[in-house]
Amino acid sequence: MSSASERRFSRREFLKLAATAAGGALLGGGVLRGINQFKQPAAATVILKATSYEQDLYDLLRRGLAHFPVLLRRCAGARVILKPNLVEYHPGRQVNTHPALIAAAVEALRYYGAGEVIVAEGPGHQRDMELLLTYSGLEAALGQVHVPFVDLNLDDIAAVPLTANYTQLGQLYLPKTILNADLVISLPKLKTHKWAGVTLSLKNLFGVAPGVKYGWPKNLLHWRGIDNSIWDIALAVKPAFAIVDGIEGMEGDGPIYGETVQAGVLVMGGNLTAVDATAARVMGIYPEHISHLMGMRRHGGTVEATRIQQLGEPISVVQQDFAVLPYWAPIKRPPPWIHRLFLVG
Amino acid sequence: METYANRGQSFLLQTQRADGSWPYHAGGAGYPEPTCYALLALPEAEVSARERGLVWMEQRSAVTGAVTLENDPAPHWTTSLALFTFAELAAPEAWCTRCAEFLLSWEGVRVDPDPAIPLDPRLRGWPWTEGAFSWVEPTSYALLALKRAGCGTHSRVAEGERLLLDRICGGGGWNYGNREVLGRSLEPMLDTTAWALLALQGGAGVAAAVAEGLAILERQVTQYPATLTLSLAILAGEVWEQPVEEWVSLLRRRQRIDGSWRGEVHLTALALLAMCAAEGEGNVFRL
Repeated sequence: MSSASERRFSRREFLKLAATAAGGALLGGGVLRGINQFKQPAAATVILKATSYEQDLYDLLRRGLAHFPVLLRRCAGARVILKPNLVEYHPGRQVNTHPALIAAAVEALRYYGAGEVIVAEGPGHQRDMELLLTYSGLEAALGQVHVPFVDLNLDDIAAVPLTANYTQLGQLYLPKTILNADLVISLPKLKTHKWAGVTLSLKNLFGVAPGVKYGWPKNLLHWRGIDNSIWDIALAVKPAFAIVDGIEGMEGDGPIYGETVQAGVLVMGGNLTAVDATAARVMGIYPEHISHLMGMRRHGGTVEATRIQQLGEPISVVQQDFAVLPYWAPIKRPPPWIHRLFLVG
Repeated sequence: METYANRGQSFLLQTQRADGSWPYHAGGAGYPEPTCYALLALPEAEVSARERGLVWMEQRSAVTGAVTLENDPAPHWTTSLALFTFAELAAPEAWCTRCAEFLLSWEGVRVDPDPAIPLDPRLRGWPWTEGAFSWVEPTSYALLALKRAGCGTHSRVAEGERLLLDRICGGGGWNYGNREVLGRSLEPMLDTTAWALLALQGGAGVAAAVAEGLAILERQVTQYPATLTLSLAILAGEVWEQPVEEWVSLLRRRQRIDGSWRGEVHLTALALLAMCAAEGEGNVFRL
């Protein structure tokens, strides 16, 4: 008689056990991830129709912001930094956040009691900020609302330890204008992006990395991984809100060489991942394929549509079919349900 | 009567910090780039300001020859500007040697060939930061500095020139680093094109690239005039004996009542250097 420990498994028994164990592990891990998925915090985003930069954007933004009482409470007396997306100037191409929207956002935030509003950006390519500000029309627009502009590339900087340290840089140098802000609001353009799939409120944060430290372009961050850099910057900056300029967006070879799309929307909210996920859906792109969005779920970001309270216009009413470069074609297709629920991120 | 130069120089003197450095904007922290340009733009007579600025720059590069920022030990892209400034202002030879040795040992990360980004990945230039790729602008700075410091015959200089020639955009001129990405030809940028033109002085087989680059400047600078672009275009144009009068007039008009260009130290210094070159008083970047 043999003891239990000496018992030999038959081949059939072994295969059965192995299959059960593997299935259990897969299901266990998957279920855990699935549960984690369901823990994505509820988030609200607002979609507003806006057909033109000529319309009363100030009024529209005031109405949109009214949906976010927590933001408005934080806004009172606060030092607010608006971070638009200014990259390069190319006449006729919708590369940059439109000056009319930026100026309207300044006024709307003042209406809600912001103590000080500053517009700040550190373009990744164009060193000649005067060229960019003048010919994009931003300098004139900011002059009309008497708001200062800070070139984040040339700002004084300080090192910030990285909590998650995805880039393995240990610390990130950031402009003091950003570090001294009470609220940072990301004001991106609705665009596709040849390296990141989409560039929205989270990718827009790349512009806070100062050129005086990282150069033009901020190539070190690309080497450390675009996703890693986005996560580290977002966790260091802790942006409070985002307003996506989708009145005119860019499809195809974004963020610079793409074509204009009359998308006719603004998307806003306080959970930037949810804002970007919603904006991606407006572009006809499945955010579940965008790795920097999915990664943000580890840090309170919400991608799952059922966890996003959609205010204003429903996505289906404003949804467009943004073209993407051929190798990004998969982001236009729905992810398999198993992929969406368990395996991504 | 006060001239544009007096007023610009006064602005520079007023913005110098107590520690000898210059900030980008009045009241800001000291940085190497505005400090180098301000030092180059101040007249010899400003002995004290120049001396204090040079000492500050020397302290920033004293350990390894690499310029570092305060509380940041990483080598900084302004090491080339420091070497250029030391050499131009006849700083002690040891300062130049240290910087030059560091620069000659520093190179951008090499990449594997990638059909999406056609370029010659074997060529070594200079990066903006440690651990990054070689780009047009920092490579141009390094070439200018090494040539000025008497290292023009070093093999890294010839290689850097080849890198610039390899990165020329389809229709001439330079983008910040690549000429084509994912099948899309990139468009030239004016400031990088001007820096590359300055850096290619004395280079072999550069005539066609220079002619194309100058043509880009001629076509586009007056389309989008701005201080940085105008200043660099004047400096590059003057070196290659192009007419620059129209650019000079556009630049002069931009000077503010306080003597500055846009209240920024580096722009004011570069504008002064450009005006000085255009008026035949010497182009600091002419090798």
